[in-house]
Amino acid sequence: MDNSVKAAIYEGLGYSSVLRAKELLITALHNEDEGIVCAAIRGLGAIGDKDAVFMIVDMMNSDAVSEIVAGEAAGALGQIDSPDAYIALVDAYQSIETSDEGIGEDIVSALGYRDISETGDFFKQILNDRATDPALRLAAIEAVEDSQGDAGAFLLDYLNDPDSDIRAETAWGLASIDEPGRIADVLHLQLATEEDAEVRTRLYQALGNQETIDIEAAAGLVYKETVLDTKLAGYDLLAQKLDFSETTKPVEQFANQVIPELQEIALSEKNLNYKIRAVITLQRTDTLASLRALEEIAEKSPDYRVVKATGINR
Amino acid sequence: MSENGFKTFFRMGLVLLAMVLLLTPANLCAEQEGIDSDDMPCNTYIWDITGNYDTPLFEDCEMTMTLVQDGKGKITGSGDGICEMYIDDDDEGFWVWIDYEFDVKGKVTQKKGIGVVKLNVKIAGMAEVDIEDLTDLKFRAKQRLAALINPDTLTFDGVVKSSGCIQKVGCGKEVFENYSADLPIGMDGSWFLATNNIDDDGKKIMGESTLILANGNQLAMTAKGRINARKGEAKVKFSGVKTDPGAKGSSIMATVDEDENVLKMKGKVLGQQIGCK
Repeated sequence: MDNSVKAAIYEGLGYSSVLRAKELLITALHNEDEGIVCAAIRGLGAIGDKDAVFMIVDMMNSDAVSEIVAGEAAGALGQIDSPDAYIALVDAYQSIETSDEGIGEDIVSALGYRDISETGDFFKQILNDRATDPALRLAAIEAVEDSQGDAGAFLLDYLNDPDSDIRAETAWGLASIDEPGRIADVLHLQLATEEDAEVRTRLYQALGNQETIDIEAAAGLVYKETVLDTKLAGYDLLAQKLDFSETTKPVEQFANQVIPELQEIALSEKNLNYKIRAVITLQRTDTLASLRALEEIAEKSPDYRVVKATGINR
Repeated sequence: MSENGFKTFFRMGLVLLAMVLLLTPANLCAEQEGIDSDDMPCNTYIWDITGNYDTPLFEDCEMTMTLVQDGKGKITGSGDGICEMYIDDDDEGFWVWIDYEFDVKGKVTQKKGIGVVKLNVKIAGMAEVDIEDLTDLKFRAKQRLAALINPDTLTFDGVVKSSGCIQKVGCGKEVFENYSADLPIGMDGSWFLATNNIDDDGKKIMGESTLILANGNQLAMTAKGRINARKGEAKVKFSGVKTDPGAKGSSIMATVDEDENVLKMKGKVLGQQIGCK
């Protein structure tokens, strides 16, 4: 039997009511095939009782297993709803050495499966220690984005971090989580002083995740942007939030300046991602002028991917 | 081994490489020298899932979705769809028609060779049901997709968890266990690191290079390295240039022998860990 099939069977055992499932899975932890060992770990994770936690912790901390197996064990523990699993992960993180940074990131990511009310102090400890490896601090913010609970309130504390990568990731977190809270004012303030273009891109995306924003203030900032990536994020925000049935100055500027610029980007820019972002923003705009621009792009673009993105049949 | 042997490290055109390059998408790498993902000692994929999708995230619906992945692997996107479904209530069933638009945020990550796609979808639309006086009803829903990229089938396969409410009708949840979407045509995770503009002085390596993805996107990189003549190796670090947002944050560290074979490689590109030990 193919090892991948065996692995699937082992993992499935964890979800089954087979009496000897746990015993079989524990035996499989010593299999020569790494894929089967990982599957057995996932199976034990699905069982999730004290014995299973004990065995998985043992695998994670073993010097005899590969980084892949140890990482799988960390991931499985992250998903087990038990204090023992949580404590084991935190203890393992505290005892890692600099040479084990890979497993450190795995543990941090694994803790992202849990509720922020349980893991918040742990993540703060990592983030507030500026001596921590920047990659681990970044992994901590990414884990918070994935967490259950009020991640928005937690993330806000790191919008002013000295590391621009952390600020950018934090703003992205606020852009992508379900309930970031009403933080439009904070984001506006941050945008007014933020100098890093990537962070500004993320802040515009975070404003897009707010119900209401000060659109005049946002437009004032967007129209000053010079970096294409950031400009596109700003234009996309305006397309979402401007009321195009009104004849305000930002709306006029969008119609006269932005729509032709987006059309040009979609047709001439080398990078596929920029071209498609321009098309998406034109679609969001949903005005006669933007529809005309999309029709022209569909007609003139030599790139079938861009044409398809316009949604207009040739 | 002479140090001069390394001078040709990145300059020599490899016949085999050239043949491979002629077959690459968009033929962008033609006549370029460099490192090809096909020649790596292990599978190293770089995924850019930018493109158009029409596999619906809800069962019983039709949908078009456009996703854009940026230099950090973050995904933004949007789309629209229509649904026609029969809801089997306890007492009696009824038909529902939904017209909706949605916004997508997500990310592509990769660890230990496994690519993961996560999407959060926020949906808003209007619904109608075949019950008298129930038209123009607001529909709100959210979906979470967690999927693994399968390099053999060039799909991402996973689970979509949905929850939503139709005004005056009620709320519901759906778990779509076997979601599978084709990656955009041409995206197979392969890549080519062009090294035409890299030079060395026998000890140090420096220059510019371009990482070309399977969809034709290019990431501008700088290269810096050191030659170890005693070991017969060169270590080169390729770093995405900071002025290119698509490349900023990406880096690859490669150890190459005198026969241009990559011995080791480790890096992070588009937010994805890649590497061969």
